Amino acid sequence: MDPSADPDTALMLRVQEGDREAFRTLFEKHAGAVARFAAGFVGSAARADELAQDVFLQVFRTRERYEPRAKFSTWLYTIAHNLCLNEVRRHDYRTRVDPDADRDPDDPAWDPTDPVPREGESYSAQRELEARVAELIRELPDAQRTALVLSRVEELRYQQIGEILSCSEQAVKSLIFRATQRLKAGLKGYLEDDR
Amino acid sequence: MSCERVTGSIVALLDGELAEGERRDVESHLASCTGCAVELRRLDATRRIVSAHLAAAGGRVARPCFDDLWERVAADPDSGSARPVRDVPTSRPGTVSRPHRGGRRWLWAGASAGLALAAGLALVVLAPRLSDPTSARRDAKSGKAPAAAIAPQVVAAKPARSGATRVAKGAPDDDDSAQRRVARRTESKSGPEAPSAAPESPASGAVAVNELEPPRELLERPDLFLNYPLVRKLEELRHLDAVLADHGADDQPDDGGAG
Repeated sequence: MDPSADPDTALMLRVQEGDREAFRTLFEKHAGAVARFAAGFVGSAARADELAQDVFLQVFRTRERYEPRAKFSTWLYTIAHNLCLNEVRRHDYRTRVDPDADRDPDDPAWDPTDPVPREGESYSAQRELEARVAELIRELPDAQRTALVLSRVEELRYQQIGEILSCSEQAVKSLIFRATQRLKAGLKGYLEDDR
Repeated sequence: MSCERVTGSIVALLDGELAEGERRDVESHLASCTGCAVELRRLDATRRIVSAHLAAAGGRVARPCFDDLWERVAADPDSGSARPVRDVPTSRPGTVSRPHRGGRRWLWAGASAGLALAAGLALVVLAPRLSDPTSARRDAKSGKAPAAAIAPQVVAAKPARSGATRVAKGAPDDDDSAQRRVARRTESKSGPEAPSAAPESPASGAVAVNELEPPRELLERPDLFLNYPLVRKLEELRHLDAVLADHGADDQPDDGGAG
């Protein structure tokens, strides 16, 4: 995609000139996605909101260095990726093994049939599976985790993920495959064919 | 096409990332290879579990708030937010937009400078009278500049900052603390042997407070001090003594004030 055809690029150029409304528009368009990415990456929904703000604070700080060479969202996720990496390196998220730590008990998203409904599966088994998946994602190498989360959460194309990670599309294909292989191995016993 | 190569392409196939020719080759292989078909099912199940997990995690994230972010931007020294920003007042309907902190800093800097100037000027003129009225009169007669008229300027420059800070915070002094400062000042004048509780006794305290208490408008609105007709009413500025005592008390331990 031609960056100049990206409406977000035009907004970002306005932000460079100090246009707060353009900044607000970009924030409201992308902050939710950035927060979801952060939640998937660091494994903490509670911290994701702050991380999304950190990302946009960084966008504003570095607005004068922005050059429309790629889609705005590519630049945005590059910042998000770097900040999330710093975050997981600063804090030990491995201690957060409880997937319900920041879950609202009344949250409709907390559905015992989610993610893969199985006949007769207990609530605790579902929680155990969630905890296991969260743990496995946390244990992925950084690049694999980033590629996987960007692909699964925001369904970004391999090409854009490659731009974010500064690698080829083929490399992204390999990263996501290896991440999925590791998760599959870690979920041995939970998958239908293993039962 | 080898099983290993097909397996490595299964996730990309599920993600719709294979080119048309490669996709046909992989699908053809999967249709005829049981082992790769099993691997396809396992990877597909894993992929769905992970996607559902991440979607659920994302669904629990609170929606980020722009106004919260903008507060951080305004407070962030690296954001250059003190520069003019177009279309500033964009608060939610019904809320009052707050001025930028940079603007506030300038306001307080101006207030501090004004107070420092006023205190310095008053000291130059009043210090001889405050410290020793007789020597001031004597110096005035002889035309010689009193030493005390020069020295306090240096001393006053430092306390003026603490006084300005208090003004900047907009925290009016309560009457009790003002009286205590005046009492300290009175005590230091009357000598170390004077009992410390004396200013709080009704008899002596009332006199000291009446003579030296800052004007009520200064206690309630310290910022008005900047507008006080300082030069014109120098003779009436008895509260300056209390201000100076206050400055001295801020910078020194309880040793009797600015003296």
